Amino acid sequence: MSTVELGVLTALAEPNRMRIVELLRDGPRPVGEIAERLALLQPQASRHLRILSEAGLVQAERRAQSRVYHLLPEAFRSLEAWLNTFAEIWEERTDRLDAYLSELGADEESSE
Amino acid sequence: MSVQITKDFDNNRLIVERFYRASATVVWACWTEAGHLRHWWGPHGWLVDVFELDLRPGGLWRYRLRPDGQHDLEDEQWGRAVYRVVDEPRRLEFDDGFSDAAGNLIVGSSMPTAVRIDDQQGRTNVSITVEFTGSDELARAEAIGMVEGFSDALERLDTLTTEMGE
Repeated sequence: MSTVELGVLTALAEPNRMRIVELLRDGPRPVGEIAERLALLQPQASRHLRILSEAGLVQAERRAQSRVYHLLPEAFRSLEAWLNTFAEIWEERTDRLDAYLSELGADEESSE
Repeated sequence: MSVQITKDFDNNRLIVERFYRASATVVWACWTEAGHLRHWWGPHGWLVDVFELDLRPGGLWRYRLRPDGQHDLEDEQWGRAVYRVVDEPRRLEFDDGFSDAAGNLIVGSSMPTAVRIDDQQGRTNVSITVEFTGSDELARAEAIGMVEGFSDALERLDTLTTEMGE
């Protein structure tokens, strides 16, 4: 089972970037459309796309007036890689619940 | 580790299971009360502001995620979930999606999520099943598995689904 690289995870840890990747799974899109679909301002979308690009997840092509972004097959060749990123997100989330439950438990004990 | 993750490619879903040293009642509260959710639902370094949490079938859970500290408004995310099953303290099911700031659901962002909470000898087992939406997604997943070029596959699949829709 392949694991997702750290840089990729860091890039995807930001929920807006995760959503951009989700959107690009449907096919290449110009930056303006990405911003519009995700209710982001264009500079914001561009910033996230730059980070995703540096992580090797997306690539831009200049077409007519705009930059069109697509997912790089090397990063997202399989559903497995995709599912792995979701698994990481949920694993971290259950870790946080565990830590929070420990805090709750400690509070109860100290108040007794 | 104490967390067990099953990637069910055949059924396009992810199952996350984990034991907690807390009662089912407390775990249920953590999943269903705004005051608890804000402490763990968001990614590390992000704050969760709950605006609405109507815990009944068809009820809405609306929240905002924002980075802790200085950030641009555009970094904020709006979550919009709709509860389907509310059976305290064992079963919670909801469609977990994103919306724009006005609360309109972002099409395709919704994922059916089912949470099972079971007492087991003093510990509580929590099982979370997240389904990847829709039959299109399934067809897409198959296409992705079969061909190397991701974009090419999706273009072909687009054509295919368009044809199927006619």
